[in-house]
Amino acid sequence: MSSVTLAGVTGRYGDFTALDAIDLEIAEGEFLTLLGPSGCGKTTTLRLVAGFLEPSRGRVLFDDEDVTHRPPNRRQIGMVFQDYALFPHMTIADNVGFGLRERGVGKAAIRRRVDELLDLVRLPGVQQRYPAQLSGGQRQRVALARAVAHPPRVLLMDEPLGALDLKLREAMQTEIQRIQRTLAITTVYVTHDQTEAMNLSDRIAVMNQGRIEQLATARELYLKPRTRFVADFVGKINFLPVTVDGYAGPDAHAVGLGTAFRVADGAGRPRGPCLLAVRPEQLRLSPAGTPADGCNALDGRIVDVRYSGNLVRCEVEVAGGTPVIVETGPDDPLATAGTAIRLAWAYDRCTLLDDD
Amino acid sequence: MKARWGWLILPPLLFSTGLLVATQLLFVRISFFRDLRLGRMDDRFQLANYVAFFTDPFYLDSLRLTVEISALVAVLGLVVAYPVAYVLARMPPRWGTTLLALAVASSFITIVIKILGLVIIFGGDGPLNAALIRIGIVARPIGLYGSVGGVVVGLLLYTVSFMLLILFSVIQTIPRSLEQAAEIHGAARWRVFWRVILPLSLPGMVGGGLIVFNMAMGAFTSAALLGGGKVLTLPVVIQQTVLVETKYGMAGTLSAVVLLVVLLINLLSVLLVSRLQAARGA
Ligand SMILES: Nc1ncnc2c1ncn2[C@@H]1O[C@H](COP(=O)(O)OP(=O)(O)O)[C@@H](O)[C@H]1O
Ligand SMILES: [Mg+2]
Repeated sequence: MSSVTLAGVTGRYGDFTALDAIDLEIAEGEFLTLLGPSGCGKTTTLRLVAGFLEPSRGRVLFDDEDVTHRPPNRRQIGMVFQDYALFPHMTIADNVGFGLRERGVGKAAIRRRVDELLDLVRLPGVQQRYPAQLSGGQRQRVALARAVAHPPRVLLMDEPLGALDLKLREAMQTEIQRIQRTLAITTVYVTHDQTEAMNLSDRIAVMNQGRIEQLATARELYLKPRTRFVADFVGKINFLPVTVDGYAGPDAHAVGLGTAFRVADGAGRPRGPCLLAVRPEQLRLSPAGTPADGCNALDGRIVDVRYSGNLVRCEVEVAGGTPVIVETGPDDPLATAGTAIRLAWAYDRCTLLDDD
Repeated sequence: MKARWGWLILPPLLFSTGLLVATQLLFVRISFFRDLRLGRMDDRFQLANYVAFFTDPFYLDSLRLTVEISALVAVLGLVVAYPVAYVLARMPPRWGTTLLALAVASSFITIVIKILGLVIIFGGDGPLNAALIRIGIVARPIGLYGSVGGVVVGLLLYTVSFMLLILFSVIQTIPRSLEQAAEIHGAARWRVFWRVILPLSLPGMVGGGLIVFNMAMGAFTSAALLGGGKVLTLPVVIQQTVLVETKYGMAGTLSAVVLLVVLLINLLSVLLVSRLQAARGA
């Protein structure tokens, strides 16, 4: 198990730059997820760590060792592929033991270790079967067992749950987390599913167009997104067009939609137009005319209400016709279409972002 | 994940049934009638021609030579075509299929023209011998014309694009992620080939090998033109038996033997491969 460092790594396919001077440090034993839309360069990042692609610039380090030019088979990596990539002509035992055999481990030792690993992934007794005889979820477990068989310095997983249905995906998330913690393997996980990323990861790197937009814990990404892209990609969020026009200590004052707002810790932002970002569940519905003491307020009218079990999602029309989404409890008496309401939220539950 | 390779066995089977069985049924019938002189035939149903075949070393040698040459061509075809097929299959698809199409298109050029080219290249004063003599590998021109080697080269040229086509389509269906999975879990390049690519393309190799073997067993032109009357494979002997000796019954017997041998070898291979598949649970 090792730490992994990408230092100024650029990845190219011909003339196309898929990864642009990425810096990334993954601590020993950490579970780091690369999150981003399709085509943003997640797989390319994994290919660089794995050694399937050589960076056109920059270095790849495992601990302090430079592995930039080392071929994949000598990097001691375990990898779970999106299509599992189990060998169809080998038994499950041979699949799981593949890496051990390639590294010269003896037959008896391989057999013991394979039994142990199949127990670990809770799939005992399938040794003599073939991949074609297992279900999708079972193949997934076998792929995971194969990847960690010869304890890897780094475990790479490229959208490993992409092919499973929702229920199984949630169950496998728990499994993956349990196994990763049991073995304490440095892990780089790739997904485009933000819920999955938040459930699993110690830290998340949100990627966009070959760059890392923000690298932080799930909590920080959610509460303090640094760019509009991150705010939008991780969870739902409302953007209100405002203009910063003054400061009060560490806070910023802004105006927009005919209203004045205050944003905690916004003093770093220059005067001028930007976006005020606030999550739907941070907005409270209150009766029209309620005094706004100690928080931001915005008047509007509910135009649409949707129930989704544990919460109600209201679409509120505010001055200027901007739709704002509010999430509130299913028992909220104000949540009916046509009601004139006042939206309220705390100063520290919103952020100012560039309108890019 | 379930790989269905069974269908690959079908082309060689259909090939042998279609071309060999249907067109030669007539010969199978006359193979049971003894030849009289000048192309006339006895009208009693008997095994005289088969007795003649299995007691005459001339025919037995010819059969052995034909099987040996065909097997050699199949094996050499695999060795020659496999790396090319692999490279083409792993190229960007547009390039791969274009190059493959070119190779396959070249198989529409009649073998007579190709052999003419071969005869020129391999001729005593041809460019190959000139080059070999110049760099001092041989002292005198080596001749492929009239030798088994020449016939093998001709048959290779005749069959190789079919082999290429079949191998290409099989290798293309092996997901690249399997190679990567093998590599990342510690296998060096040749181990990836040995443990993953080769076993997964085995059914295609059997299919391709059978087609080429079948084609070679029945190939007359290459054997006749490059053999120069000295390499007596069964198709050449059959032609002589019909045209020179006018022994139609004997020719029918020879054809029937080719047919039987080809069917037998195909069936055995099919059985072998399907047992392999069954063991794998696919
Ligand atoms: N082999 C390749 N050749 C050319 N371009 C590629 C290749 N692989 C990926 N790309 C391009 O690089 C970009 C990043 O791809 P990738 O890392 O696979 O994205 P992700 O895994 O985030 O969906 C995409 O625009 C993709 O089209
Ligand atoms: Mg990808």
